[in-house]
Amino acid sequence: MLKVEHISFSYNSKRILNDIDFEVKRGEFFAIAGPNGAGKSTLIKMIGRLLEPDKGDLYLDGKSFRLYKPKELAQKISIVSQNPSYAFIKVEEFVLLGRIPYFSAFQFFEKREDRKAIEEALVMCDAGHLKGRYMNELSGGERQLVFLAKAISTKPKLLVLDEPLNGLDISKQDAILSLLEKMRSEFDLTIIAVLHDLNVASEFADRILLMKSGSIFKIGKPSAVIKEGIVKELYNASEKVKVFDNPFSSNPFVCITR
Amino acid sequence: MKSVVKLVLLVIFILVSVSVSLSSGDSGISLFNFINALSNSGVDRVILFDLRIPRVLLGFFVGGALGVCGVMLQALFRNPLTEPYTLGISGGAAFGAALAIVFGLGRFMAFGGFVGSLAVVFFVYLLSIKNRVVDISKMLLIGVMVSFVSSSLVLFMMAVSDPVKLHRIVFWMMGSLQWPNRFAVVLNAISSVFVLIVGIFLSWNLNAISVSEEDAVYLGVNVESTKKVVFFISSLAVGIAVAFAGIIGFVGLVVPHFFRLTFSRDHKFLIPLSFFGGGSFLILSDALARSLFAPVELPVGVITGIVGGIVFIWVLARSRWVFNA
Repeated sequence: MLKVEHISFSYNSKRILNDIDFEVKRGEFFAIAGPNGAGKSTLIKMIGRLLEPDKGDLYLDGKSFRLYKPKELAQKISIVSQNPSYAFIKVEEFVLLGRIPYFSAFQFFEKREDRKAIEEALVMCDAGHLKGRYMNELSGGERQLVFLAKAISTKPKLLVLDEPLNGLDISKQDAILSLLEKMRSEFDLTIIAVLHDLNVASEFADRILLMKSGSIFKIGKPSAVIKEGIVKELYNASEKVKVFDNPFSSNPFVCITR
Repeated sequence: MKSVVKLVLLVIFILVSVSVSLSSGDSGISLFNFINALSNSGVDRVILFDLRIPRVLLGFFVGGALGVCGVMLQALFRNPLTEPYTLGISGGAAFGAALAIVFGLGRFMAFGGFVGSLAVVFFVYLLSIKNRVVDISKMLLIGVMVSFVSSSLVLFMMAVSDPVKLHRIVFWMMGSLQWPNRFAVVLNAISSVFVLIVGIFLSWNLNAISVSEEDAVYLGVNVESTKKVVFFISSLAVGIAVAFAGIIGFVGLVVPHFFRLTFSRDHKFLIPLSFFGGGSFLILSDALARSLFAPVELPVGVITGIVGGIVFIWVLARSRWVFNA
């Protein structure tokens, strides 16, 4: 579905991404992990067309990003950035912004289908009760649900999330991950998520891309890439970091011992 | 309060502003005489058609342009203190006008103001653009700095001018709607209506950008084009307004915030509201400036500052509003 073909990117003469090449299949939950400064968020910005690669190209359904009109691509790819901004507006108005890719240049008012899409997205994200409230009055978990509702109101094929669980307690993380699973099965959605927590990636992702210093370090199924040696080398971690099989799921589990 | 009620109140405010402005002034045409003046010939009719109506129209279009440009720039900069003059437009205009006065070209004062404002804005734009991308925070800082430099140059010219020229510069800088010739009215009407229409067309882009520039790109909004169009049309419209009415502060700052607080943050409503609200607020302020200490006419900026400031503080204190949550 998404093909990232040998892309490189430099900023102020510093190489940020170096020959990144991978493909994400339709319906896949694809995680991206790696240490801070590995270039994960820059890669997300490339997928969102905020940045253009110096070399290489990106393709969606076999068509180069360069051949898509911005709104046409925005209808297919929804991105929830790392620390999404919000404003002093009502949840409903905020989610409506997700329909902008469908608005024509001379359209002033949203259509009935836009209203329907935001209602459905809010219900899907269990945020219907929040729609009359202001964004700044919500808790972190509620806000994350609204960000997802905005993203899903676009009815994308590909949902890209940059650290969606950041700052959330375990029950909110559970709620968001369950929601992502539900969206995936109901909408045949492909998900790319930058995840700091390797255990979440291990449990939920079909494949994981590990990045280090702007390059691909490893890519593959969780059982193939989350191995003690790989994790230690990736993060320059000490002997205290151990990987063993999660007794509940048999997936790799990373922990720090004393 | 329901939106319909608020809208009715706004229409009443516009009608009251126009009526008060048409009937107030030195020669005091009362509302009753005003009706007669419309149908009869005589001094009242001359005052009404040659002085009052052009003045009201000029004030309305200048105020409307300042209101719309204020909304658009605040959305673009995501900064509550941004106003149409922030980018150095006022400083440049004052410098151009002062230069014309000092060199004995007082007749070309408006033209000097217009050229000065555009020159400064162009300079700010050139310094803020890198790789065809406008750096908004850099532009804001450069604009403020250029404003300071040009204002200081104006002070320098005032210091070396003779008293007559000094008086002209000071009076121009305080802002006034005293010279509403037909050309000024027509030009301001065209520019303010143009900026209103373009602003409405850009309202969804502004809705997205006012929340986050990055997320607006992800939504397929052409952020760079929007920035350039807003910057260009605002500079032109405010340059024209300043050229004929001088520097009238506060309208472009307070009016957009007032409607954001009381009506909506949605730019498809906010832009037309600020146009009509800004226009009415300025003509009402002008009417007060003419009548409060008649026959002495106060600079209209004094009224916009005092009345606008007090009303705005009152509304702000009662609201739950945060500009950038």
